[in-house]
Parts: sequence; C-alpha cells; structure tokens
Amino acid sequence: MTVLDPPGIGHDAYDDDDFDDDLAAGTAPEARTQWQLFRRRFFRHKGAMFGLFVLVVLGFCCYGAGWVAPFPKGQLDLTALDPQPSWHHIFGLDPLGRDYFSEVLYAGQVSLTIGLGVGLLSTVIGSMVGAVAGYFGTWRDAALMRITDLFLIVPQIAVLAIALKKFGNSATTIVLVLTGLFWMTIARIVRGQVLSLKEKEFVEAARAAGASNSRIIFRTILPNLVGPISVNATLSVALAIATESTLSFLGFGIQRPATSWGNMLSDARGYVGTSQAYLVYFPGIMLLLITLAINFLGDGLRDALDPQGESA
Amino acid sequence: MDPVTTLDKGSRDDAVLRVEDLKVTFPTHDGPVPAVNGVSFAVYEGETLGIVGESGSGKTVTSMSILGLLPKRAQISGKILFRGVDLLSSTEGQLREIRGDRIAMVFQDALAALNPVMKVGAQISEMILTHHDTPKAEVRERVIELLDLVGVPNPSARVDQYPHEYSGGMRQRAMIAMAIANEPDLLIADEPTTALDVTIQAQVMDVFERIQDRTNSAMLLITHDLGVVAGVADSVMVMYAGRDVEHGTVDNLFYDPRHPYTRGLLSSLPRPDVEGRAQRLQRIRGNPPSLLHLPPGCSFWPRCVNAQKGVCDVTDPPLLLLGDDRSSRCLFAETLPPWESTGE
Repeated sequence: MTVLDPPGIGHDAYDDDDFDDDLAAGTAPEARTQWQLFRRRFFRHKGAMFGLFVLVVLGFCCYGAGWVAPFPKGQLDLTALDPQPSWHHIFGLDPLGRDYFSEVLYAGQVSLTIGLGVGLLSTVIGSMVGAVAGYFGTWRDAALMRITDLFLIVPQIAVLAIALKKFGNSATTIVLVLTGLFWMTIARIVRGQVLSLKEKEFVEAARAAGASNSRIIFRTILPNLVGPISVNATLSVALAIATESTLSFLGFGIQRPATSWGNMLSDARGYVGTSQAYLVYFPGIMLLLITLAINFLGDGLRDALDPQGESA
Repeated sequence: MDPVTTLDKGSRDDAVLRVEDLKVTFPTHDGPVPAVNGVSFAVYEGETLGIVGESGSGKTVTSMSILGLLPKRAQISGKILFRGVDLLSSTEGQLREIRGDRIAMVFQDALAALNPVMKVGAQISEMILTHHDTPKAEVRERVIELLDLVGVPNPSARVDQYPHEYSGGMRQRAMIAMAIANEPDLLIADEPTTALDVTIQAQVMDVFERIQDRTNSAMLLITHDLGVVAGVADSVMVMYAGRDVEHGTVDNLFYDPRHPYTRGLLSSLPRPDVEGRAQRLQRIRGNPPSLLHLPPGCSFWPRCVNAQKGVCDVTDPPLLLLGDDRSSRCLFAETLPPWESTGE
C-alpha cells in the first residue's frame, strides 16, 4: 500500500481487496478450524481435564507397574509384622503378605485392558452394524435392528455367566463376551444419525460424484459421526471395566492367579468390618476413580464436540 | 406440422446427451404422479441448454434421472443416450463410472452439498481419486489449479479450509471446481445461482462460461431464472407440468415465443427499460395443476389466455416442429397473435 493514509483513520477495516493477501501473510485474524475450536473447548473443560489427568496417571502406573510398583508381582514380605498401610507398604499387605499397592497396579493392567478392548471392539462392531442398517435401510435395517433388540433384551449377567462358563474365562473371552453385550447402544446411535445424514445433500452430491456405497459410508457419512461415536466409546470403556469387576466379584470373571480389581474386591469381601477393610477400599477406590475419570472425559468430549456449545 | 419426438432429427451428430421421450412416474398412495411426461431434448458439445420452468415442472427430476439418482420406486421409460449409450439400461457400476467423471453435477445449495467435516481441497481430491489413480502430490497441485481456475483467491491457503470458512459465492465456486475436476463431457447445473445474490450470480455464471470455453463441455442449466438463461444458454427448453412445452434457441424463443406459457413467463418479468403500461407485472392467472389430476387435453389450458373451448380441453397437443431447432406443444403455435415484445 503506497497511498498515505490520513492519521487516525483505520482504513483497513474497509479494505476488502487485501483480505486474502493478508491471509497469506498471516496478518488477518486467524480463522479457527473445527479442530482448533474443539481443542480449545476440550482443554478448558475442567471435568475433562481432571478425567484426562487421572486416566493418564493411572494408566501410566498400571501399565508401567514394572517400574512404578515398589515390589515385584507376587513377592511376599515375610518380615513385616503389621499388615496395615504404612510408609513402607502404602496400601498395606494382603493376607498372604504381598504388597497391596503393587498388586492393585498389576491388577489394573487387566481391568484397563479389558475396558479398552471392549470399548474399541464394541464401537467398531456397533458402528458397522448401525451404518449398514441406517444406510441401506429396508430388509437389512429390519434384520439388523431386530438382532440388536434381541441382544438388548437378554438378561446380561446370566448370559455372561453361562458364556464364560462355556468358553473359559481368559481376558480375551471376557472381552469378546462383553463386546457381544455392548455393541447395541452404539449401533442404535449410529443408525439414527446415519438415517438423517444420508438424506443430506452432500451425500447425494457424493453419489452424483460416482462414489460407491462403501466410500460414501466411510468417507462421507462416518466422519460426521466422530463426536457421538467417540463419546459413546469412552462411556462404554467405563461400563466395561465396571461390568468386568461385577463378573469377577461374582466369580465368573478373571480367575486366580490372574488378578483384576474385580476379583481383588471379591477376595477381600470377607474383611469388611475387620481391621483389614482397606483390602476392599483400595481396589474399590481405583474402580471408582477410573470410571469417574472416563465419564468426565466423555462429558468433556461431548461438550467440546457440540457445535452449538459455548465457544470458550 | 408433423409431431416430433426429438428436437432435431439427427441432423447434428455431436449430441453429448440425447433424451428421448423420457417419462418418470412416482407411485404414491393417491395414485401415480407423472413428474416427467414425455420429454425430449439434446445437448451438444460446447453448448448450453437451459431448462426453464416453475417448481414442480420436472426440471430436477429430469436431471436426476440422467445421473440415475432417482429413488428406486420411480418408474422410468424412454431413452437417455449419453454419447450413444443408453444410461437407463446401464448397470449401477457403469453409471458410477460415468457420474462425476463424464457427467458432473453442480448443486443449488453449495453449503448443503459440501461435506461439513471435510476440507474443501480434500473433497475435490476425493472427486479425482474416485475415478483416477493419481499420486497425492499431483492431485493437490491439480486441486489448487482448479480453485484458481474458478476464481477462488489464494487457492494454496484455501485448499486446506473447511466449507464453513468459505463465503457463499466461494462455496459455489468450489462446487464448480469439484464438478469440473475430471473435465466431464456434460455438466449439469441445477439452479446453480439461486442461493446467491445478484452480483455473485453474475460472477458464478461468468465462471461457467469461462470453463465451457476452455473445456468445450456441454452444459445443462436448470433454472427458473429467465435472465440467467438469456445470458448464458444457447438453446432453451421450457417445461410445464412435466412436459416440454417449447424448444428454441435463446434468440427466437425470447423474441418470438410460440407457446402461451412461455409468453406468460416472459411478460411476468420486470422490465426496467419499459415505460408506461407495461410497468405493472403481468402474472399468469391460476395455479400450476396438481400432477395427480392433470386437466384433460393441454395441461395449460385452464390458465391459458388463448385457450379455445372444445379444442384445447380435449386434444393433448403433440410437439409441433416450427422450423430448425424450434418446436412448441401448442395446437395454435403457428396462429398465435404476434408477440408484442414489450421492450420495443
């Protein structure tokens, strides 16, 4: 700009021609992308930040138990006189004399893995079922949704117990069986969203561009559902961890010598009301913390992904 | 005065698209709805055919049937010959190869027709990659080139933005860039400027003309805006109640309309250049008929100022050939009173 401007008059606001040059030079106000807006809202969400922090710390401690745990797995402390929590054994000792803190961390590996596995698997399966049902409609929709209903109405605990008795109760089978009971919610959510999205003009535009059905589902429709799918995925992780511990508590889940927070709780239930009640508290608190943290994270995701949400 | 089914009788063989006696009927609970009822036209290389008509006259259904995008329940008959191949008897797989590659479409509402969660550049690349195996870097270069071609400023930055960061006119430009990405033989533009204000309309139509000059593609311009048609089309087809009521080149159709409906449309246009009595806008009396209960005879007679009892409400008028590239579906096409072009 070579023209001299009268002092005190901001001409730039009226000067549209230069807008795009300015943009190139990086002097124009930066346009925020969806992703930037999402990050901004997410990182200002207190609950989500708390959840993320707790998750990261617990995840690191559990999976890094080899370095973090003060004692190796299963090592007995035969010299300790008092099993109560102390500076040496911060969670105390279990009835066999093992460091309870280390045990809780190692057990957490199993609980977390099952939760994450179920969350991932049920999300993938549920999304597929929902997308196919919603997109193709007609008989495929009817068939898939009736199957979904069928899975929803079965008495879950009973089915779980029977299935685990039949297929054995390794972590893998628990993940598979829990997935079998968890994919329906996400399938219904995705189906509903796909039903409305497939009528959108940009889907028709994609079809007019020669895109195949699978391309439309994966490249056009599903990216629009990242929000609801990821929120639901986090929530199902929390639910899976809780359900696994319920099962283990009832004796159908992870079996000794492998440990999870569920069977630790189960083993400790006899100590309620005794001086060693802490055996119940610690795995219980861990369960509570982790499910709470994941739920907070899911809430934060939902708020941050809501385009109508407050722009932080 | 032979009835004809095609606009010309094959005198020109460079037709990119030739539609013959297209009929599209939707079964409904109240009975079959003939949305398109025996329409024939042809579009030639490097030329633009404007399809004009009010809402519900079958313009969009016609364009959708060309791409094979009508819902399955639609009953379609006739012929849609694209470069000699009948699209109506093609398989879905064959159609998919043609869509977006040989025939591309520009939609009315660019904001709705662009995927909100995908970058504009990615959507244009998608169009190319659906049909051609091209290295990523090359595609990106091509996309930037395309955006530049349609007049999106600063394309190398804009390519990574989302549709909501574009202005309305720019979104329509991006849509056009997407449509021409594979240099299609036929471009279908369904009301491409309706959602835009007048200045931007002119710019967008300009882009279309420039593109056509460059690629020599044929264009089907669907609109209810006669001004746009007069500006860019070579020939025009007027549709009413699912029928093609008049065909002609822009010049002879605008200066000498041979169908009362076309005359009604033209005299309902505001004419800023005319003083006096014509300042008041003329309207076509009555309402468009329900497609479920079309009047007997000519579907336009209840609204027609030239209708004759006992003739128009009895005989379904055939398309009458009036000369080269000129035809009308009015029984009195040749005896209509001279058209007073109010502009002179």
